Amino acid sequence: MGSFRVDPNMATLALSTSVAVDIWEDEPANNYYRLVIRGDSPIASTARAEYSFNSGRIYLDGLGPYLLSEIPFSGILISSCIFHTGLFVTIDNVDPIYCASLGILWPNTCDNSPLTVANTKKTLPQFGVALPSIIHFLGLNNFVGTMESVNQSPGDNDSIFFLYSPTYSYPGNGGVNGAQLEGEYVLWSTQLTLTPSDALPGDLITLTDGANQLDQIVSLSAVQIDEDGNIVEVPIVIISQTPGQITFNLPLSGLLPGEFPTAIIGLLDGVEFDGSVLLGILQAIYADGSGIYTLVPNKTNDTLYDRSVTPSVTIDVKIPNPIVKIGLLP
Amino acid sequence: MTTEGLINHFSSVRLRVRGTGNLLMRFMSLDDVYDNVLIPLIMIPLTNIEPTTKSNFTEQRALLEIKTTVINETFEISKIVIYVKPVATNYPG
Repeated sequence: MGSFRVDPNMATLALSTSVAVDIWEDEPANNYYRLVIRGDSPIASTARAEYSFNSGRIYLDGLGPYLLSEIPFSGILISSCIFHTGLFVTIDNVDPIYCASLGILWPNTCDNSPLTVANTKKTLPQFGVALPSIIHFLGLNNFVGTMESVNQSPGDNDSIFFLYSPTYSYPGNGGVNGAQLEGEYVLWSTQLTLTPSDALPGDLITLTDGANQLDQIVSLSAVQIDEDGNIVEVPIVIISQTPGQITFNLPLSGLLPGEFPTAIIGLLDGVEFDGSVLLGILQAIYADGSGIYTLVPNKTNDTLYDRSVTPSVTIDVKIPNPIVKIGLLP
Repeated sequence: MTTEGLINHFSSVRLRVRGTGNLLMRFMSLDDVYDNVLIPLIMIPLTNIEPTTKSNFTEQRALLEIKTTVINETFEISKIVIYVKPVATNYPG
């Protein structure tokens, strides 16, 4: 398990009254944006903050940022998630009883129950909104995209909208500061069993998963690394697929002959980060699956692969009884 | 006098053969009803002789089968001479 963080590409705040709004770039090197209401303008009773997220600003375990497409060979599943709005308000005159409700307006399929935060302090700290789990209601790809106009209606799939509703109008400062989406992720891994562990080209392979997650695999491939370090990847045709089991044939051609381990890679799609997951290693006992007969000058026997032992060896056998029969005499 | 239907005695075979291993030979009658296995000929890669192998097979018609049966045995035959002599005219019907 590790931590992840996604920074917004940009945030905007919409107010129902005319106040001065500005966007400050506090940390240009980090592309860190801050939205601030300047001066002592009264904050309206309703404000709306809009965020969009950048596909190139994913941090994993404090490292990054990565592009989503850069996350290699990892099936990453978001196991928990908190959205830090970054909303802040500074009240200038009195100690008010302050209430704000925060509701996710989009997507409509998520939990729309408003979250209420009460705070009597003059400065409302950043507060986090616990989302049950992104994977339950939202594909991460829906978070990314370019920022759209703040005036657009909820439902566009480029941004997340929050409703910010103070109970009273009052003079002070307010804004959005450093919104973040963060939480924990787990590598998509489970107890996988490859049967058999040694396989011949064309063999029927069964991959079982006690956690019943194999339905998240959209395609399979067999991957080998040759002596020169080059990656050889051969697509695999899935014969049958259920959450608990996948069956497929080891490709008859395309893989390297010899003793190269064959990694079976499953490509993931959907609610996780795009990526792939190593499903297991097969020791491919690889003969010449094509059956091509190679003629070798001056060779006086046939050479066959012995598939009855591991690792595979070759054995020389006689050419079946070379024979001559003349015609009948006289 | 026609040779058709004569009963022949196949008495020997002379080969120009080079190779390795044992060359197995046998005469076979029509439909392989009878056969006569000859003494295997020990082959050598280079030779200046054309050995004659005796046989004793009496049939109207016969063919000669030549083969090897052990791995890495080879043979190269460039001439086959079969000695045949008629010994009877026919089988009465």
